[in-house]
Amino acid sequence: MSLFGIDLGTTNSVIARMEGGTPRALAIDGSAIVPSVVLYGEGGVIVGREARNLALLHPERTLVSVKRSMGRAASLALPGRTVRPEEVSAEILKKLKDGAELATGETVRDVVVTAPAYFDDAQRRATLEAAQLAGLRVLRLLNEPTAAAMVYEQAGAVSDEPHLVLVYDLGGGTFDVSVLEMFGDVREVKATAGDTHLGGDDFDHLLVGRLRDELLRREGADVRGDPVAEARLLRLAEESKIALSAAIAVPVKAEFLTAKGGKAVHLDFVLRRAEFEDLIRPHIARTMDMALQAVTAAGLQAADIQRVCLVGGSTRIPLVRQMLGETFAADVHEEIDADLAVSLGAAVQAAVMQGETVERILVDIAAHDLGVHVRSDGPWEPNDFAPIIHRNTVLPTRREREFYTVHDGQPAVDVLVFQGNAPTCAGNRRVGQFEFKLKPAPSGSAVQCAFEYDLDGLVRVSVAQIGTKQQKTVALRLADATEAQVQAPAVPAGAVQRKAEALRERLSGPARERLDILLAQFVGAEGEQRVQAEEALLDYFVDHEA
Amino acid sequence: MLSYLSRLFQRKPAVVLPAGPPPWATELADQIANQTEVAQKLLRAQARIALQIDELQSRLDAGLQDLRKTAAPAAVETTDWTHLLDALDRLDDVVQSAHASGAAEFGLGLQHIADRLHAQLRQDGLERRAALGRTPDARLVRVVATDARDDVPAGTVTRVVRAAVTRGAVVVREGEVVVSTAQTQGGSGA
Repeated sequence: MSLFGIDLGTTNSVIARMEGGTPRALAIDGSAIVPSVVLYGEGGVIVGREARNLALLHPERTLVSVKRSMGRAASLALPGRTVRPEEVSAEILKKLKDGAELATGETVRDVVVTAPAYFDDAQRRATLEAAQLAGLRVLRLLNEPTAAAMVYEQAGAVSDEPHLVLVYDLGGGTFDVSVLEMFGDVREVKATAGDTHLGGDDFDHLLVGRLRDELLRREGADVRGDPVAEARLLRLAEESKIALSAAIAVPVKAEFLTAKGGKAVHLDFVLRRAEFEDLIRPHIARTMDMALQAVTAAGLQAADIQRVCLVGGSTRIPLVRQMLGETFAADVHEEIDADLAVSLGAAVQAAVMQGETVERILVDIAAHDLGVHVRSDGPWEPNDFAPIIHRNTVLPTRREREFYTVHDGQPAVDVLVFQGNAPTCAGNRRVGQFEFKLKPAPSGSAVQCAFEYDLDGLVRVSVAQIGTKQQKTVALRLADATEAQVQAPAVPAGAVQRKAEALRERLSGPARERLDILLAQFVGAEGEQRVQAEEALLDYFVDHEA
Repeated sequence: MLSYLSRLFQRKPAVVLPAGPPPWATELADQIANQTEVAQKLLRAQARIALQIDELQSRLDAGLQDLRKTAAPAAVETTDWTHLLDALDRLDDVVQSAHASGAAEFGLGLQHIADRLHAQLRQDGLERRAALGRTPDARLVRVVATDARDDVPAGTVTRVVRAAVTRGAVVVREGEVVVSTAQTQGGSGA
């Protein structure tokens, strides 16, 4: 019988289990993400997506974010009755249990459930009670950041060496940050901080305000009090926010949004990522302050943190990663689906408890930062490196960034593309360069630079002068450049890992243990050490191929 | 006696070691070391090439699989219908406005255009579901606003902001609707 991992979240919940040695979230009602919403209707209890869809129609019967009330004595009022938070959570767990049983055909009984690291004893007992009410047996109540760190470990993002990890979890409605000390099988939460009322929903509402203002400024139309227009703006805001994670600007179009003086009013303008970032920057800055608070509470300094693992859908916003990079000189990891990381980690823990073999999660990622040479804003720094695709970004990917011209009427820019993990170009390797001619424009004119990196190691660099038709695309093959460095054909890290995993299946005893050590060294190494670790693995392949 | 015997036998011949290895031995040892290193590099290069071939093979397989998908009639799965579906929602709004403002002929013309687009969508397996005047089906639509009015029964869809779209039993896109409430309750907005 399978064991399952459950992320019982404030906004959404997920259930996962191991399939073929790797964790996988199960689709319930067509999606792995189940809204943590319960509607006590006249005809019965409705949970998840359907409850969320009817929440506005029956607000007095709908309960959301019940996790915030767990472990408190107060009951929640409904028309004609009261319910305890544990009972509401039990309904969510039942929905996950029933959905998983339908999806797998197996009985769901033994589970690992996650809870925030800051949950006190009463809140933990309440979570256990909810599970019991749902007919589940909780084998372990696992801290959410620990679960996330466990699944990142399986993706090779966390090495076996003792080290300090910051788990930054920015979801739809809550923010949690935790500092973990990891050593072998020990994962200790050293400190936590957070805000239970901060998340992506706040960013959506800020953006709705921005769109509303734009409509007022351009068309003189005020949509406040027009619920349909407000609903359309909210969806537009959500979609624009998601699109701005990859693009630096998105068209915002809403035809027949409202009417003014008997005439239809349309919204049509371009929203720039920079504007969105200005709106949310104070919130993201506050999360950085809380992250630093957690680090201080753990008796550490920012420089002590070696890795940052991203959890929660809102961490896909580029500003989050940028500010984390500025606050911590650590490797930022995003290999795991941020919405599912906690549940997948819980499934991994369940498998470990059952003695199942947990396979390494193979993800194709960018091994190095990839960016361009820029002039810095401050004192002249000839070697400034501006990353566009960060290392550990899952491939294939497309990322855009905006840069600005230095001089009035600047005739061209030299696009020098560098690859590496150093903060300056001098420490990185140039992988290509070309000239991009500009139309005459004042200094500070925007130039868009987009990198598209595919699984074949091909990078398409597209440069466009905003507001003109000037654009140019150049394809660079990074594998060729890597060849020069290691004096041998470049082998993707994923291929080496896959080979090792395949060989591992055929080995046992000390030979297998030795391979595990070499593989761990390879996964954890960087730069020259990575090359050496790869050579050691290749030697091992040669010796054990016969 | 003992000295006599000692002249007859010797347990172990005395070895006089030279001060260092002869030049030819050093040269050969260096050559062996160099050749071993070369052999090691060749073996690694061979291992790398083997890995590259594996990698290329797997990409070739994946590429062929993609190609097969593209060539198959089910290629419609990869089509992004978002903009067309959004445009149809707005077209519905305009048709309704045209009828409401007395421009019936204009509204009818637009309705025919919308019908042709719907027919095309149906041909590709997609069905727009706009259940105006019915109770909202929460599996398909989300209530984004309420409308306090007494001319229709409470709890019925009075406006479709965005039609739900299904392909068979699968919800491709969730819809958004406005639902009536009794006037005494008041509209709650979005």
